[in-house]
Amino acid sequence: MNTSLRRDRQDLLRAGLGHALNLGLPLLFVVIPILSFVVVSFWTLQDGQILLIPTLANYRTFFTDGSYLPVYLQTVGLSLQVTLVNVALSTAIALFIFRRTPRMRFLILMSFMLPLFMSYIIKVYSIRSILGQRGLLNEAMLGLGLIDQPIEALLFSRTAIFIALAVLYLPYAILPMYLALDRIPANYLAASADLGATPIQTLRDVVLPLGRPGIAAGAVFTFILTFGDFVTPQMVGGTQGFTFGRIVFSQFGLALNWPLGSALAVILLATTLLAVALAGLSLRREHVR
Amino acid sequence: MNWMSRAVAASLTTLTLLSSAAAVAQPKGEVRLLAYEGYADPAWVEEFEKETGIAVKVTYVGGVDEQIAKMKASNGKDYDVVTIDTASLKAYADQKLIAPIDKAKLTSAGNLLPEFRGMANATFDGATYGVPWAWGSLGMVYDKKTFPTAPESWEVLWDPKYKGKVISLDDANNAINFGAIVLGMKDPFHLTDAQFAQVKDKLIALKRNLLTYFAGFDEGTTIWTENDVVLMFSMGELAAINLQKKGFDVGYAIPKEGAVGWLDNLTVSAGTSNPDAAYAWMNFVLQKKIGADMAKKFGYGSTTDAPEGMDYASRLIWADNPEDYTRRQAIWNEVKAAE
Repeated sequence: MNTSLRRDRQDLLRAGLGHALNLGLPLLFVVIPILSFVVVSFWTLQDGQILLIPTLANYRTFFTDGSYLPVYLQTVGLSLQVTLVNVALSTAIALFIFRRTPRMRFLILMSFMLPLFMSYIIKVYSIRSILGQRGLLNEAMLGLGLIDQPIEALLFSRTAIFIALAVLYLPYAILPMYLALDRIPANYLAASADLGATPIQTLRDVVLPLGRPGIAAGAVFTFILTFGDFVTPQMVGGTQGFTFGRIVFSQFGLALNWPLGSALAVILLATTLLAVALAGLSLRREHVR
Repeated sequence: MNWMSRAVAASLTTLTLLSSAAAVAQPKGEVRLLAYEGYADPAWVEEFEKETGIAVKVTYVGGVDEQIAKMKASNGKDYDVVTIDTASLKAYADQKLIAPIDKAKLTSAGNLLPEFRGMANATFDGATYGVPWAWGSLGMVYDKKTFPTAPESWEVLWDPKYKGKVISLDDANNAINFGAIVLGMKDPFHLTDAQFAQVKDKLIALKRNLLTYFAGFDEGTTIWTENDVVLMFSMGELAAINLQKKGFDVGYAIPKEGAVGWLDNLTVSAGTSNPDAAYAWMNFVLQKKIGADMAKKFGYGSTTDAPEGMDYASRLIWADNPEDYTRRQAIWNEVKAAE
């Protein structure tokens, strides 16, 4: 009786410790750091000094002052465009891989994942040297006689930002999409064919609906990464390369406007959480039906 | 004298000889430098150590913030000589991290070029805190094929003829300084509301003529080499030097409106334990030959020996702290967000 009670208590203690670790580690390393900038976003900046006076002024600045809201909306628009294109591309590529033999699948998938092993900055520099006025693409087209003089608008334009972001973040969309397809049991497809469905019908009614979680995950990854990127647009976008991430970044240098920077970061975070929530919602609806 | 006492005498003599030899080789202490890259070349350090017997210990810093953090950590007790830019000098003096210069000990002061001898921007309340040592500017890089002679005015960057062939430095503070200088404002570091509005409009107009902004020496050079660029509001002399090294025929100019200049000063730490060693180092590096060597090796302007082509120090406006960094950043963001 006594020993079993002690054992119960020990189990309870162990379980408690486990829970404390499970909750404590994310709390310590994720939640508290994030909460800390939520807190800073309500502080006051006065004469270059950060004062611990609570205010909503930083959020008001976002909605009323100069350029913040328009840049935010532009960046949301850009990220949605990139997301749309990448979801379409990654679905096509994942389907392409899915239809190969198992051994080929791995090889092709790996080759699409290869860019993830390269430094991000090197990829941006490469894209730039491809798109530049004296870049690979222009030189090649000149050499082939397709154009008479270099196309100037390739680099340092909104188009360049769009291309660069789509290329950079495509692997992040392909991977979840492919993994979702890979989980579809082969006999589903066989059954669909046995029941007389054409390959197109199987794709529309079996493969794509079952691949939805992959599409949602790929879309969320692409949107979040694109929306928060403050380096690529600046490097390839020229005078158009000013995005919301850049505005957040600019508040932390010599400007030392941490409260405004934090408020803008909170807005960025809220936007990405909204994207995650929307993706989750779209999946749940599917279940209900 | 028996063999015993002879042996003792001999060993005593040897000891005396040894200890006097040791006295010659023993360094007269140490001088500890807190400096930027290129300010304590190994060749100079070696020559200085041989000449004076003072050992040199260098700590390099990458930026202003890092430097002030290091100085504050020990109230300057870890360093003897510190190189500080003109804009930060007053903050160091106000916080008593550096000591006034003892001009009697600065025997090399006579080597300074006339425009640096006054040390006016290092003097606060009658005390001089820094000796000018290295300088540079944020000037114009131009393509010599397009411009056989250097453009006279910065306005050429706004000329629609060169639309899409101009690049400009992405730096809130210096971009606003630049706009103010082009508009002929007397004090580009302290602008009024009306002046801010004018500068903003001027910079938005420039934006429409740009191919892109760039950040850092390397990026400016890379963009120039990969695109058809003929004009740049640059980060400094090094931009032109790097392009020339890559085989591009470019020139560097300070147009008639002037340009922002930076000037680093040699200062004595308030916490120094060996001021004589500190002055010995300062007197050593203020020799004309050291200045010339620095200009050759690193492309910095020297204050003791005017390097070839760097005859424009008197036309530069030495950088000062601006009235409000936060405001400058907000305005620069508006420029960058403008259509």
